[in-house]
Amino acid sequence: MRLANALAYGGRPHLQIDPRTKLVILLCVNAICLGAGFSGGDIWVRGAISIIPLLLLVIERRFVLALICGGATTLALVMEMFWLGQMDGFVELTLAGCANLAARFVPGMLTGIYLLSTTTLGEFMAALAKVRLPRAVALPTAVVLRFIPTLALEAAAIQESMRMRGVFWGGGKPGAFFTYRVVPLMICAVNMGDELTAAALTRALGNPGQRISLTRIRLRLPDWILIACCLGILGIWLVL
Amino acid sequence: MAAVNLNSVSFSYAVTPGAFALDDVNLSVDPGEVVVLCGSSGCGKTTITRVVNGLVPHFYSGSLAGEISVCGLDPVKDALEKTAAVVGSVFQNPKAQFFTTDVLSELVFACENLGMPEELIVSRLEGVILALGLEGLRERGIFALSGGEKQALACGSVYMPDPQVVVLDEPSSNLDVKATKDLGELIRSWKAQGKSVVIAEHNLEYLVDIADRFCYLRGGRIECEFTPAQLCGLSFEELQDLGLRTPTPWSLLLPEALPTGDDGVSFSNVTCVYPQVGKILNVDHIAFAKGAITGLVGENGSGKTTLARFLAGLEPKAKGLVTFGGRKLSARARRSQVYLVTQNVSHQLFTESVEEEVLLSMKKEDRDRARAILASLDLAELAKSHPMALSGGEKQRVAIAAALASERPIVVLDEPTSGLDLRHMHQVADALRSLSRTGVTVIVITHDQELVATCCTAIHRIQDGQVVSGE
Repeated sequence: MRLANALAYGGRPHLQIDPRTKLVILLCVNAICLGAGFSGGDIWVRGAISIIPLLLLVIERRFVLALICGGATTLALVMEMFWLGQMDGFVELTLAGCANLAARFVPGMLTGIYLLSTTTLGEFMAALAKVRLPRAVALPTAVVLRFIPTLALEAAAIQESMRMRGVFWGGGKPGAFFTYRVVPLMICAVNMGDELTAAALTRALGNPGQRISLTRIRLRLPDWILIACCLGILGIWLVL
Repeated sequence: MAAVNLNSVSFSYAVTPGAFALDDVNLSVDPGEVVVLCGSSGCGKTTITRVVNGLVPHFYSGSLAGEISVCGLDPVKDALEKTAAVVGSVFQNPKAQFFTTDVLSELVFACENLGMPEELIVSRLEGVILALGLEGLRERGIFALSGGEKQALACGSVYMPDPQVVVLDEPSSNLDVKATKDLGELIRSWKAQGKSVVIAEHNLEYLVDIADRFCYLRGGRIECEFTPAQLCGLSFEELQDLGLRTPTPWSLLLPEALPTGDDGVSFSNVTCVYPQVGKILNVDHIAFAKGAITGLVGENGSGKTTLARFLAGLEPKAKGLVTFGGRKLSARARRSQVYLVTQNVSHQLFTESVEEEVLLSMKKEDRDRARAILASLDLAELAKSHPMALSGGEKQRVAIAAALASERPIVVLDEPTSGLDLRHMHQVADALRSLSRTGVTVIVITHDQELVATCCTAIHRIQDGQVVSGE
């Protein structure tokens, strides 16, 4: 349930950030965290960009999430910086692998959580329209955004039911894990997708005419500062 | 002139060719008229709502015959978005009808798609928020809304473009008594504004003093029509024959709260506090007799489901003492002693056949016993079917079969009959009786008065997290 709640839109955010800025941050964080290497400079660049989603979560008062994930990322980066290359043996290598995964994926994940939990679908669609993304691309993107928290909620409900029924992993049957967990989730998702589509069509989603948007989005000072930071760090990484 | 006119309309879905979902249906609805479509599951009432809003044949394809006109449009020839401008649709499942993730975006969604002028949208928005009492929800995300709030939002977003026709498909199945009443009031105001309203519904109670006509469907045909007075005048036997839920549940005889011994389940000093919401549960004492079927009733949000989750050991925020047969049960122990059948049963059926579902619950697989359990719940023929391919009522019974197989002494069910017709409700009631015959303590959370009157032996009422009647 916790993850599902973390992903769902939770009301007006404390700091209004334009969805376009959030997309720039998401792209930069992922590009740098996944793309940068292990040299000293690269690790510093990865550390610098990882601060941005943490800062945004702190502004939104998501202290626990920021603290846990910030701690994990810092630890992972420190490990990479000082221990990597001196490690051998199974345990140490596994540890190094985990640290590397954490340092590379946690910041992107946090940015995703931030994006989902602070952006309304209206803002998101308005942003996609402003960057002139064609409707054929924008609409499915918006649907995916709508669907992620729903899927997380369904998965949490299934997980809890498994716990209630005392079925762990697969009730001792190999291969059953997939059947028990994934099949009901897929069926729920398909059914819900069907119902959602029907409901949206009865509200003229398929209208080929001009869609208007009441949502006003605008790049303000904090947006420009964030974009400058992201592009700055990206630039430093590319030059290094 | 009638706003909605169906002239000898027949339809069969593409997935079941040859089986007529609608068979020569004639229906006309005037402006300001409220027509209720009733009949057992699969009688064709939902299909009629889909014909009116154009989902048949544009989304649900099949072979359609006959003439349809809705406010001068032909929903078959005209594109869906044209029909969408004049017909608003409310669906059964509130959580699957929202396209956006926050209240305001959702309200303006249809108007934005239709390209309505901005000033008009803004002025209508304020009017609708006022009319539906959505003021407090403005800034909320839809995932945090209660079932009643969700349905109010669904009605509001349908109301926004000011359609002349509104169709509703079992809108009350997930609502409690109060939210259902609010829904009734909204339909009444639509009627006063001259809108045509078509409702497919099992729950007829809230509609008897609003609707003009009740069309009874069987096998895709409109068999007969009742005025509200005629419907209320039907005897118990006649309703059973028609398979209709009683329109006058207040006349049903409900069980009394019976004194309970020490052998059942009892709760003492249960509290549950959520940081943002405050105290949602504050129960001094409540007891459920062993082997009895006890109904737990109360409004949505009164804490019934939280109490059930606490009993099942799944609510970490709730604290309190639970005893069973005089012995204390820890949360961990409760997870192996209590079987919770949740509101959405699809979440708790994992396997690929009904039989396997029952076997999975057993400590030691015993196929003979599994067959006996399935037979006792009238599920023997479905043993090889995939649980997800079953109807709502059948899924409920499979979940109850799995509960029976688990041999857990306490079974809790959360709204097991929401959206079920009379026949399926009786099947669930029979299944509950077979549970209690084996000595299981059964607790049913429900707002279905008819279910309580049919099978419960005792009743407890919860309000604002506190027990208000019973012991």
